[in-house]
Amino acid sequence: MMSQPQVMKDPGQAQRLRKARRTALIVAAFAVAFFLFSILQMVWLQHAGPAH
Amino acid sequence: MAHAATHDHHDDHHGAPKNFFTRWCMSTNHKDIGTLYLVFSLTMLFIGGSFAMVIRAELFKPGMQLVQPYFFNEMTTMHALVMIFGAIMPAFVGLGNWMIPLMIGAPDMALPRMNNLSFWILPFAFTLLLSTLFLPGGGPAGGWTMYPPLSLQGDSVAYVVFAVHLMGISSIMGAINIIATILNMRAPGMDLLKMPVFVWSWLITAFLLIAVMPVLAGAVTMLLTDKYFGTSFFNAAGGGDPVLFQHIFWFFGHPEVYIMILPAFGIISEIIPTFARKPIFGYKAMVFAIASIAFLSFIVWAHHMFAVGLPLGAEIFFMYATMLIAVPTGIKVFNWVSTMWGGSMTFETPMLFAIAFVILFTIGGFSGLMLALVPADFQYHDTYFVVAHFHYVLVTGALFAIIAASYYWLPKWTGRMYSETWGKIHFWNSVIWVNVLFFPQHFLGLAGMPRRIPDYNVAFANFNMISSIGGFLFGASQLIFLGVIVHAVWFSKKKATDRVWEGAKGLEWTVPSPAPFHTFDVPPVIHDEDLAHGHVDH
Repeated sequence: MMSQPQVMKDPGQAQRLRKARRTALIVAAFAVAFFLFSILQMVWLQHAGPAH
Repeated sequence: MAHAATHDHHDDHHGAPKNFFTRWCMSTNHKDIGTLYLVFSLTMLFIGGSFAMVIRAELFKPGMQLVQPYFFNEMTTMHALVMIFGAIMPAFVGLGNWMIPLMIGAPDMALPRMNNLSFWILPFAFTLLLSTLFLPGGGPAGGWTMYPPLSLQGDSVAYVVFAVHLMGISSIMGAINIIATILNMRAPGMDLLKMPVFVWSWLITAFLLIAVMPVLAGAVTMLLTDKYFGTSFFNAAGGGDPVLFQHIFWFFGHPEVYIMILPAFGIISEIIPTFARKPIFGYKAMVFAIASIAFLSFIVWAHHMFAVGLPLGAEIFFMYATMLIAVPTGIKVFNWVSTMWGGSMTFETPMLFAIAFVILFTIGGFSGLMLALVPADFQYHDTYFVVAHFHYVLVTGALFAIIAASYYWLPKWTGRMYSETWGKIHFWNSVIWVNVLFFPQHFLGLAGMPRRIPDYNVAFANFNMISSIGGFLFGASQLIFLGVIVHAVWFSKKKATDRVWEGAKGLEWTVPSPAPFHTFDVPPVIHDEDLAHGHVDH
């Protein structure tokens, strides 16, 4: 069992947390895209021949 | 508003689980997770430091003394990996975890469970990495840069790659959490341009992490497939190119340097105004300078590769782009000095480390400018001059800032004052021996001593002996730091006040010392006079 999360006494907090989760998903999508791009560009370079 | 932010300041640990395992292993509390990160990074500092002691002992005099060459190479590789990914980066994440919610008036990080996962991945990653030292074929010995084909020799590749993946996932999750927290969880009235510079520095660093850690993950994944799955990304015999690895590695590697120094800039920008008793000079310029440095860090990576045979146009571009970084960095140094100018300064231990940072980091910055010059770099490349340069940046820069931050915020974390006398003894020992350790390495490099070698020409004997003596004593000095922390946490009788330092400003100083287990359940009402930075009246 996780330790008890802090009790939110501010009604605006729930909305802020929802927005935070959306921000986190967007940022995570960028991270995955950078990972895939770094490999895909190498695959492309290998097919295109030596870079120099 | 002093204590209104906390619901029970008489019970410092109100709400904290009593069970040790539940509290520390299952924690979702930003303060406890921050503590875990800091304890982990201190442990890694001593493990990585012990590897450095082996290196300096072997180099104490010419000839093979204590260890075999392969083990020496394992030590240089592991020292770097442990210090970068195990000591410096987790220390900044720990400081961010502790302080960012307190500084912006948030009750916790935006994603507390992911915060727990981000931390607990790390002990497994480093157990995996360090266990390679006990493999029959030995651990990684090709340098932390993992250049193929050298790094692909040996049987520890899969372990190292998986460990790097785990560290990367941990860093990325930590960065996502910090971005989501800063952008969404600020208390009403805490505008972006009223945030402390430390928070700004972490926001920008988190974006750097998101952009470059996946690139490192991609690069090491390709190493793995080259080794075990028959691909030829970096294998010339199969149509690949090992230089491409260097490009992709340094596209990660150079921003990584700034990941390790931008939060340090933020820390120094908090400490100097407190002990100069003046608001920081040029707040907006400081923020924009950090952002400029972060941007420029993406377009300078090939200055690590001048000697590899780049086209002349590329060398010129990367040389000038690198030199451009001196402009925002100069703005920062100027503003720190201007903040001190005319201030009512006192020299407590955090301030001493901050001033040492400004002076010694600047030396590291200048030697970096020397290395940015293409013709000069052909001489300096892969010599001890480079070793001296990056240790001035990362030890007297990043590590000194972390130590300064620890002294600065320790009373807020523990509710007790550390021993100022022993803090100063730690400072003077550190600042003297770190220079004895690293300054002679400039001369060794200029005289032509290559890095990453266990033996050397007798011509280099004297400076190496001086450097090793400095190394042993600098290492021993850090035991004083450990003693000061242990004393402050468990034995100090001197209670800290809420504000701790006379000149301290910011929301973190409005909560009691020690900071209660839960803070800012209800967002604080922001009074500009409580804030340290931005458009605020003092």
